[in-house]
Amino acid sequence: MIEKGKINPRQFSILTLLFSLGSSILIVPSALASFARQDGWLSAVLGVAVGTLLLAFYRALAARHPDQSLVEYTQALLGTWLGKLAGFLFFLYFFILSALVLRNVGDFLTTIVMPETPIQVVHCVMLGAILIGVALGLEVIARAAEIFLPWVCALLVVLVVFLLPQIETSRIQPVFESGTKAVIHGSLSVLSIPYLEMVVFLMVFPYASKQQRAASAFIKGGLLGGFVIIVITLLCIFVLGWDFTARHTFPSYTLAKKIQIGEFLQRIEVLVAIIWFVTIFFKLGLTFYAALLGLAQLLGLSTYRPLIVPCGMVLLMMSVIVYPNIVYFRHFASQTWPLYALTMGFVLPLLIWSVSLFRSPAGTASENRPPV
Amino acid sequence: MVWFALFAAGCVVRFQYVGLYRQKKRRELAASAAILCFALALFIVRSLQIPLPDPLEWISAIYGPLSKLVSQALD
Repeated sequence: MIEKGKINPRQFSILTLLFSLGSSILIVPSALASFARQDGWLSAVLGVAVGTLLLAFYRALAARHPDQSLVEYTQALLGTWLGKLAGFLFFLYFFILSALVLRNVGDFLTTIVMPETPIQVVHCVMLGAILIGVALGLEVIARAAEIFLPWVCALLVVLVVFLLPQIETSRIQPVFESGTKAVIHGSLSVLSIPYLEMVVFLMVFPYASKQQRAASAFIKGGLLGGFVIIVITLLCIFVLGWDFTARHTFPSYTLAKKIQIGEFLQRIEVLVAIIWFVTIFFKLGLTFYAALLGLAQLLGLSTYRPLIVPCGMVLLMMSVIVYPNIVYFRHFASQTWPLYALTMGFVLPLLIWSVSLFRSPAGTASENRPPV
Repeated sequence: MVWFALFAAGCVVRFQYVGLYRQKKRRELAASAAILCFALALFIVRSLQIPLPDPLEWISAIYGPLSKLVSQALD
C-alpha cells in the first residue's frame, strides 16, 4: 500500500465533519434560498436526509473492498483499460473539486477580507499549507483535524449563540409556500456540495483502522455536518431573510457581521471566518490527497510524493483559470455541478457496486487484484 | 508567477529527482517529470497572455441539455 498511516474511527468522523462543512456553509445557504426562498431550510433537511442515505451506500461499497481504495478496486473490477478510464475520471473529479475549493478560498478572501491582494497570492499561501499537509500524509492531517475541531466548535457556538437575539421568526413564514418542486430543486445543491463530494472518502477507507466502527463514524460525521448546515441555513433565513441570503455569495459571512451584543461586541466576523479557513483546509487537503493517491495508483507508482509539487503547480494554475468570475461560478454551482457530481459521486460508484455484486461474493473481491 | 514556478520546478529537480534517480525509480521520475513539464507549459502560456480554455466550460457543454431538462422539470 502507498499510504502507511492509519486513522482511527474518531479521527475519521472528525474528518468527515470538517469535510462536510468546508466551503458548503459558505456557498450553500445562498443557493438554497434562491431556489426555495424561505423554505430553504426544508431543502437543507431533505438534502441531508438523502445525503445520509448516500453515505450509507458509500459504506456498503467500501465494505465490499475493505483493503483497497476506490481507484484500485475500480481497476480490479472493470479490467485494466476500462478501470483506468473510470479511475482517471475519478481523478479528474477530485482534481477539479480541489481547484474549485481553492478558488472558493481565494474568492472569499479577495472579495470580502483583502480586496487589494491578488488572488494568486492567496492561493499560493493556502496551497503551501496544503502541500505540506499532503506531504506529511493522512495520519498527520487526521491528527491536525483533532486539534482544530475544538476551535471550529467553539466558533460555531459563538456564531449561533450571539445571533440568537436577532432572530425574527416571522421571516420563515409562510412555511412551504414555494412548493415541493422548489424544495427538491434546492436540496440538489446540499446533496451535491458536501455529500456527493464525499466519494473522496472511498479513497481513504482502506486506511481506517477498525473498519466497521469507522464506517459508522463516517455516517455520524456526515450527519453532524448536515445538522450544522441546516442550523446555519435556518439562521441565515431567520436573521437576514431569504432575499438577502439569496443575493449574497457568502451569506454566512454576512451573518457573522450581524453579531452585535450591546455596543462593545461587534465586527468579529473575521474571527468567525476562521471556521471557514479551517474546514476548507481539511476539505482541500483530503480532496487533493485523494487525487494524488488516485493518480499514483492509476500509474502504478510506489509513492505519490514525487507528484505533490508538480500537481500542486497544475492545481494553482487550474484554480486561477477554472472559472472567469464569481457570477459564472454561482450559475455553474447551481445548474451544472449537481449533475456532474451526481454522475461521478453516484452513477459511477453505483455501476462499480453492481459490477462488484456480479463478479464476486462479498469478501473475496480483494483477491482479484490486477497484476501490477 | 512564471519565475516562481520555475524556482519551484528547480527545487523539485534538485531535491527530489536526484534521489529518485539514484534509487532507480524510473516510473515515478517519468510520471512526475511529465506533470512538471505540463505545469510549466501552463505557466508559460499564461505568462504570454494566451487565453487558456476553462475546464468548467467543457463540463457545462456536456451537461447543458440535461441541466435544462432538470430546471424545466423542477420549475
